[in-house]
Amino acid sequence: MYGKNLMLIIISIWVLLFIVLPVSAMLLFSFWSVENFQVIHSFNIQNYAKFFHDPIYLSLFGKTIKLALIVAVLSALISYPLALFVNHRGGTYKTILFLGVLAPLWVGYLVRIYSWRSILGESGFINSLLVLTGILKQPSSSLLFNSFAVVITMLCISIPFTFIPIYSAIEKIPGNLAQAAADLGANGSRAFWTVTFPLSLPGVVTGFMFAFITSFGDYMTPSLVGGTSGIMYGNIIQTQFGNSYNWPLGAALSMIMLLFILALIAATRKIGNVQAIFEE
Amino acid sequence: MINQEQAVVELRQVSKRFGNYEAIKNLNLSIGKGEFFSIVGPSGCGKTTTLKMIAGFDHATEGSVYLSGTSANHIPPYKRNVNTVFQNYALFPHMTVYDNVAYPLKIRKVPKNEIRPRVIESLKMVSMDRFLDRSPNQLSGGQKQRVALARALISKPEILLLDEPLSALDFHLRQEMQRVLKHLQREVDITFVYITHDQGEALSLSDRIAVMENGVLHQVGSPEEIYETPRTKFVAGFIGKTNLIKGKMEGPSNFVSDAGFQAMTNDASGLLGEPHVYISVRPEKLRASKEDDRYVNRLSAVFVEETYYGSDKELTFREAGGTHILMKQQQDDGNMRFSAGESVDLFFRPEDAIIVKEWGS
Repeated sequence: MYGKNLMLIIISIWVLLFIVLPVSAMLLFSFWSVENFQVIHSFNIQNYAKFFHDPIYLSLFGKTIKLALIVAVLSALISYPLALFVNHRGGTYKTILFLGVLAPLWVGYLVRIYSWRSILGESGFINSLLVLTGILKQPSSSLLFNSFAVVITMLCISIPFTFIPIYSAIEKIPGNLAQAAADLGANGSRAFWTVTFPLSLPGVVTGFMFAFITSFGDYMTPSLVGGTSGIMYGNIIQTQFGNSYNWPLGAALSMIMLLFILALIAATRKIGNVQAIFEE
Repeated sequence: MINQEQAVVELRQVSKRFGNYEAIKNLNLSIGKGEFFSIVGPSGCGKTTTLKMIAGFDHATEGSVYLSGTSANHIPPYKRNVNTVFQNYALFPHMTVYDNVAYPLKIRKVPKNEIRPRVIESLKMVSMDRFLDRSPNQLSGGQKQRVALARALISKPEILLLDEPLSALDFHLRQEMQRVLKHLQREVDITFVYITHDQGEALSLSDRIAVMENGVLHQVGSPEEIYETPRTKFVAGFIGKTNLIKGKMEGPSNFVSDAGFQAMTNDASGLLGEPHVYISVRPEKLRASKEDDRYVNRLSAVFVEETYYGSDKELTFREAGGTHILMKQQQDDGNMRFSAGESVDLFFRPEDAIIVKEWGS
């Protein structure tokens, strides 16, 4: 009992210090304003009004949703067959294959972004290959500094995070359920769509959300490989806390993002609960 | 014996190897229409592998499996008219009881308006029609088993395979489910192939029993045949309790044990040439006194101990060759008390002495 209480206290302190306090500070900031590079401590909602009135913010928000959606959908589409393959066909190499998919996680976040920059760049791997094989006469600059490069790089970052929940959801499905489906008359694809897939859906939703949220909030990837056309919502927040020196606006934009993501999590929580299906 | 045309399942010279391990050795088996057929044996005897080959989840390395007269070697499970009740039920956790039972009908594209009445009828058979909207997680083990049965029977398969279906249930539930199964089988007139390691279950439920050990089929027969006239030492010892003494035959019905004990037995002329055989006498066939003139066999033994089981008592003796001999004593036999080390003569009739071989056919 004593140990349990101690853990509870530690967790409470942790949450208070690293979540409640900073978020509250942000919330407070978002209702202030800036004049002549001075933060004015007077309560107003002009920062929020700005988000809804200035089309720049809304359109960028929309574009960011679109890019994050593309990344999350592709990430799930790639991770699912991968997870299925490692699970069903992995055999004795299961662990190695599993770790292989997670290998990108062992490389630093920035290193991963920079390596994509060099792969997609004008003197990069892909261009060299295309020129070498004669497909292109001159290296192309259209691979880098656009939304395409952002999506590719984010995919590389998000796939391991999407793969893990999908993999564990598939792994938790008792093997004899697919067998039972076959026994009751379902061929391979019917058995998959009626049994395996619905049972792994919570993992898919969780993995999808992982990819969506990490991509939605990412600002390093767009600023390093996105160029001007690949800019995302995270970048304008970053600008407010940097060059523009408008912390209150940055805070308001962050709060909007936070609320949006919390709403998404709340909406998908029910189907994202893997355990609920298998436990009593 | 079942005649060839009626055989719903037939295994001809089937062998199954996993790498170097031979799970099934040259198995021949024929199961008739509407039979309650059990395959019994200890774990690892090959009974589950046999079941999987009938269901189509595993394939014979050699030989063929015939379903209703046609070779099923290349027919996938979903095209076989065979359904399975799995050991741990294998109910779909994301579906209600109703949807679980309706699954085979939906898969087979049965018209929508036929599904509901058939699901309810099927669940009524196992008295589960009040639980339509429950999730499998809200059911007890026995209830899950009933739903699994309803699901497996709803599409009226030709053969129902049951893989140790009652092993996860407690004693009372198991007995209740045994009655349900027996009753159901008569009602639906479907061939049941029942896998169990529980010989008592097999004896009470089956029309015929196959006894397997280490991938070898020892004997097939009715419960009475298997119990009363086992052919091998393994069958005699596995199905019910028995006393086995090693020796050989000196005449068609003259047994002599290695320690020199002689007995008149039932006819075993076929085993005259065997280098060694065993005499098998059930504990309930032994008497501590010569009840009548038919008890011509006398086995001298020393009393060791007694074990009390409620409805009866089991007395343990040791005969001259060192083998422990069990004798079952009914409560109304009168209370015979022996003290440890006391010499006692045990009697049995020649017809109760069965001669068995060491190995299967």
